Amino acid sequence: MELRLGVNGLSLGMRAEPNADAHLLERCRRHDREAFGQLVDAYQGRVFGFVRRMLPSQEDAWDVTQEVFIRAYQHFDRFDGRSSVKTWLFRIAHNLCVDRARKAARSIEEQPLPVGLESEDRMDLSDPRWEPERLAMEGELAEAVEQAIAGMSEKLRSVLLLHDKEDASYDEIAQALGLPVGTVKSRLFLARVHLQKCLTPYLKGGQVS
Amino acid sequence: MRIWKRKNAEDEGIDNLSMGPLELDLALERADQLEMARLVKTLVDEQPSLTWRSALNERLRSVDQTQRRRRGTAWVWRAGVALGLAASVLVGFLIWPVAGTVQVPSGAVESGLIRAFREEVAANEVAGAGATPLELDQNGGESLAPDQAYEDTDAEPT
Repeated sequence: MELRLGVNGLSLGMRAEPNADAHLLERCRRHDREAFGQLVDAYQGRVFGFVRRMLPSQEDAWDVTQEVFIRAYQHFDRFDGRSSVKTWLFRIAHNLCVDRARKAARSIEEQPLPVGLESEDRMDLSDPRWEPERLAMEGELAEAVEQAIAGMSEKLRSVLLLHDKEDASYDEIAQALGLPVGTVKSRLFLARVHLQKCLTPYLKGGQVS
Repeated sequence: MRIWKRKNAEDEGIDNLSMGPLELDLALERADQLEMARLVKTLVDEQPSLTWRSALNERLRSVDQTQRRRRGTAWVWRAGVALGLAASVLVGFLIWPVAGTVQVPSGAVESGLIRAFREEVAANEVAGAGATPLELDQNGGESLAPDQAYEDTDAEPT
């Protein structure tokens, strides 16, 4: 599979053309901003999409996405080419998202929940953004999928997005996240099960063809 | 509070899936799993705005300038250190006290060796390379006292 992305026929996917990319990467290693700009053009949307779904705040997502490219630019000489640029960028993005989430978790003081929310049926909601009634009214399946993904744990979400959204192979995900391939597969399976559970009303209602 | 607990339970269950590798591979290829994959694939990525891109370019330019400045500073710093080290070594060679001469007791073997060495050096300076008076002596030649060995043989005897 080959991914052709961005401008100027740039192909920097998992199995990209070696010659064209090698030249561009070499320029990036020499801190050529123009060459790096092509890389940003090719990946900004995908990296932002990944980061946006990994973080709750859009503002944070914009900021972290910039940080991903700045880190990549600063440390491009460390990119050894063993993995694809895409895998490398998503690894940086994943690490920054995890860092940002940890910082956010540290800064949030645990608030006691109101007594009325202690019933089991309300606690089944894994994320406050998951509002089936509103979603049903809007009829937005994509929104439902987005919210179901947002309701997953970071471990499931990252694997699901990298595999099903970004077409990364099991090996590439394992490399990017520092996990065994078997763990990647089991997380992917559980993530899809979670998604399926969340989308049950839509699946039963025949909204998914 | 309980939301956090639920998340932790979910995380714990992640790596404890009771399926063999082959079974898991087959499960991932099931129609319902592939349908979920298809749904995720259809999600649309938002493209960053020009303002965002412009801000990124500004930050990249700033990073570039900082790195260049650091590289320049590092070069000057390294050159300074290298010059300093070279100067220290030079000063060390010039000023460092030469080890004092060792006093050898007269009559010892060492003093005999030193005397022989000095005589040989003196002989070389006068006569150049060749047999020394001592060597002549050892070869059965005419024995000359060290102080007579370098006298002019063409001079008229007194």
